[in-house]
Amino acid sequence: MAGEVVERQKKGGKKGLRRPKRRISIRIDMTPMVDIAFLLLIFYMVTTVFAMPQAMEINLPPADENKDIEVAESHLLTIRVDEDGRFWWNMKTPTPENLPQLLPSAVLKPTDTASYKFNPDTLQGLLVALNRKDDKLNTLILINRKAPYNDMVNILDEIDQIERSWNAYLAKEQGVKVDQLQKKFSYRYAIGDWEDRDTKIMQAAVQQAHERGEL
Amino acid sequence: MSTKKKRRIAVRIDMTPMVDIAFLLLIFYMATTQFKPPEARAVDLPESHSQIKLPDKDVINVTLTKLDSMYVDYVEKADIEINGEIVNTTVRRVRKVDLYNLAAEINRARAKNRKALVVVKADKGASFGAMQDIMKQMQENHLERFLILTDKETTAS
Repeated sequence: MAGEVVERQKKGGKKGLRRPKRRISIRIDMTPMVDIAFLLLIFYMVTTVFAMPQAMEINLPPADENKDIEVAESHLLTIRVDEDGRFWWNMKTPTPENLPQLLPSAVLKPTDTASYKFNPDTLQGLLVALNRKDDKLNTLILINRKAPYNDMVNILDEIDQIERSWNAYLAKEQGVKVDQLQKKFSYRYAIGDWEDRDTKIMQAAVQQAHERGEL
Repeated sequence: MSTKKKRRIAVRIDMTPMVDIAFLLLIFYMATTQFKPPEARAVDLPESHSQIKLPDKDVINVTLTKLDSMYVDYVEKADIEINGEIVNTTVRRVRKVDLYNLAAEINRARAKNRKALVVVKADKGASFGAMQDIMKQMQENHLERFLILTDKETTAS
């Protein structure tokens, strides 16, 4: 009803003063168009994801060169990940006196500070500490087949980060760029197969941890 | 009274520059938005601090889901018949595979595109055993170099 009244008034007005009023009536109401434009703008802003997934490069040793590599026992660090995704570590081969130790906080957490990062209770802290102590260290990674795949990525990521920060440090010390380093630090590690004896070792280690009240 | 009316008219702001900027942004977002390619199965990726960008073409995706089932998918050029006409276009092939035909499927995709790189997209809840089996298959087929897909970890590195 109100609209009709307005229209009539407009029509009436047009009859009275033609030219000046027509010029004004050419103006188009842009509000709906701008509304739609903003709607689309908000839609695209909300749905656009700028963080594309990252990729990690994996280089496996060729199958035909997959010979056994001999490593001195004293330089061997073994990281074991059990079925429940708990991390255990030990130097040399495990014996009843030298069972794998539980790593209290395996990987870094969002709240991590620098002091926490180099805490030997974390995987990164432990790996850095042991590599500083022994420059011939070899790390053997054994992951239970039932453990989540996430744990493998976490370990590889920590090693990757150590390599990067170590090389950045070396480059800074020599006053060159990372690409120009003569001898880059590359972490020596291997992913091995989880065997039945590892399950037995873990059973003993879990028992020991229970006795100590760590679990 | 007359002064008050005049003031009200003066409050009107010229919206033109704002609308210009809005359209500019709209066009930017419309042009840059890339919608996610259809996924064989939804995958919850693990996180890493890696700085390598994923190539946006020439990839063969191997998807490993939370329940350890595997899919191979890739984009290839093919002749398809549409309404009786043969059209050469790009198609995405998705195939469910198991351990025994994974390598065969990857090799078939590689035969069509020699530049293609294998990208393993595994759910973080998948078992390590399934991943280990994939790695063994890759090793036996001389595909030692491949990428694993992760999300960017946002914590301090």
